[in-house]
Amino acid sequence: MTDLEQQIKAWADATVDLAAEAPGVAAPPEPAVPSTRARRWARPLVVAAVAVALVGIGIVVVGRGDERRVRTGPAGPVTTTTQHGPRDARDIVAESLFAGGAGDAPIGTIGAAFTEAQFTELWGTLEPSPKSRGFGGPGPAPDLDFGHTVVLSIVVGGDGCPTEFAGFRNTSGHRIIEPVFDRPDPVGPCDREVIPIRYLIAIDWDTTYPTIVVQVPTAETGVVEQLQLRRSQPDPVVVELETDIGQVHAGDQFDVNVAIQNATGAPIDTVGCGRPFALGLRRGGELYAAGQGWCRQEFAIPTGSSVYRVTLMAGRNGCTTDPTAVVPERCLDDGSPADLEPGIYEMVLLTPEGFDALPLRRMIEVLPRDR
Amino acid sequence: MTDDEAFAAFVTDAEPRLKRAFTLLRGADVGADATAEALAWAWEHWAEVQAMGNPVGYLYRVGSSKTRFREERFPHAVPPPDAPGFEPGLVPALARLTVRQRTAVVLVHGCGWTHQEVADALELSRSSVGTHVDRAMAQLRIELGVDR
Repeated sequence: MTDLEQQIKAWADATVDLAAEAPGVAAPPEPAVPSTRARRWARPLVVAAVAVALVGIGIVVVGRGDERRVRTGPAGPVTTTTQHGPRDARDIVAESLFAGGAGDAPIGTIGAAFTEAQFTELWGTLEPSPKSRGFGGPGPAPDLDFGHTVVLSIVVGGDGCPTEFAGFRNTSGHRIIEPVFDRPDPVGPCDREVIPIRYLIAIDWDTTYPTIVVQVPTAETGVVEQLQLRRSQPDPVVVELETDIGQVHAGDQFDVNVAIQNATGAPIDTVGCGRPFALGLRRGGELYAAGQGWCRQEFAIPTGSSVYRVTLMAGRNGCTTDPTAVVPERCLDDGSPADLEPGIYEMVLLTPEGFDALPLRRMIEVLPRDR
Repeated sequence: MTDDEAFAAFVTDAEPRLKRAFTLLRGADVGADATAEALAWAWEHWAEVQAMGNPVGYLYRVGSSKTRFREERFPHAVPPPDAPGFEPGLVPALARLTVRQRTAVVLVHGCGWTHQEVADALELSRSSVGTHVDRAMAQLRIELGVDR
């Protein structure tokens, strides 16, 4: 190794050490031992099963009016071992704000409020569950500092007995977490039908990574719903165009993933035709996109993450046979439209009625046709 | 070994490598996010990742892509002048390299990646990586006044 190579190595070591020591920057987490992975989670839905995972989580019960509030705190001495080792997630400070009826929301519904306005709206939809014991009405909304807090809304399956949110644990990876619940006061067998229970959980951003993925089980065994929470991303509906393609040739077709994070806690009802999303290319005020049909079909964008694969063609979708028209609008001699002119184009997402979110601007370079 | 055990073993190896690379090239904050994004993607696409010849290189691209809109300017943090082992002029000299040259030289000499791994991460040929590294090292030697 030359002297310069050693210098680069030394600079790299010092910079990484500096980053690890910087305030507000998490040190590299220790490797986690994953318990399960998405889509293969075969854990029963009954909440009693997850109580086992609470080992090592210190629980402080705080009385406040007629509510019972649970705050997770630093762990006390671990007296029992568990192979699921929630080393990172147990440090998350989270507080259960509400547990009660879920209305029509199915098990697995997941959403989040990043602002006071979103939280107020969410709180207004809460309702007690007449079918379960131990859950009261919502009461007045608590004051929260949304500069440091995000409120998670989840619907999980319960068996009719009172349960308490008891914190989070890691699943696979350090930032993929799931809530755990405890039954602090056994009341005998709880053999009623599984019912949806909504929990509102305030998470202290300062005790988490800026990006975490929360997952909850759905009613379908082995299937989980996930939601990514990003501190710098307060928009409840986020749409991204995912592609690694930066250049295409005129006439090429390529696929782009339209990835949606719906954290509103409810499906988004939209109206389109054929498919909910389409893509076009725009340059110089001209939009090049396939024509839209005239039908009206309803599409529900589900809560959590969803991805729609859309095929985009770098080309014109029509031309005119009018001989007086100017090129490139005029059809070529063989009747086909002229190629797009080479240059930088903006990818334009064509969204269905009822869907307002827009992706960040993505550009793509169109090269001359690859002959 | 089960899938879960294999993924845990993979994370143990891949996370520090990704985190080091992203921290050096993107800064601590973006680096942490990029690493998380990359590993979250790996977790969701574990079957694909297992089949990859160089999954860390591919995940570097995933993490870079997912954080591509974040503001950044090299350098993100400068170790104190008394940090042992390197010339203080190194950081400004690294900053003056082209992004490709800096990325290649930092991954190779700051992170210990092979040229093939860097090629996979940057979607370049191995020879192109070698060219970027050679030119970057030559430029650094000129700026720092060091011999080979």
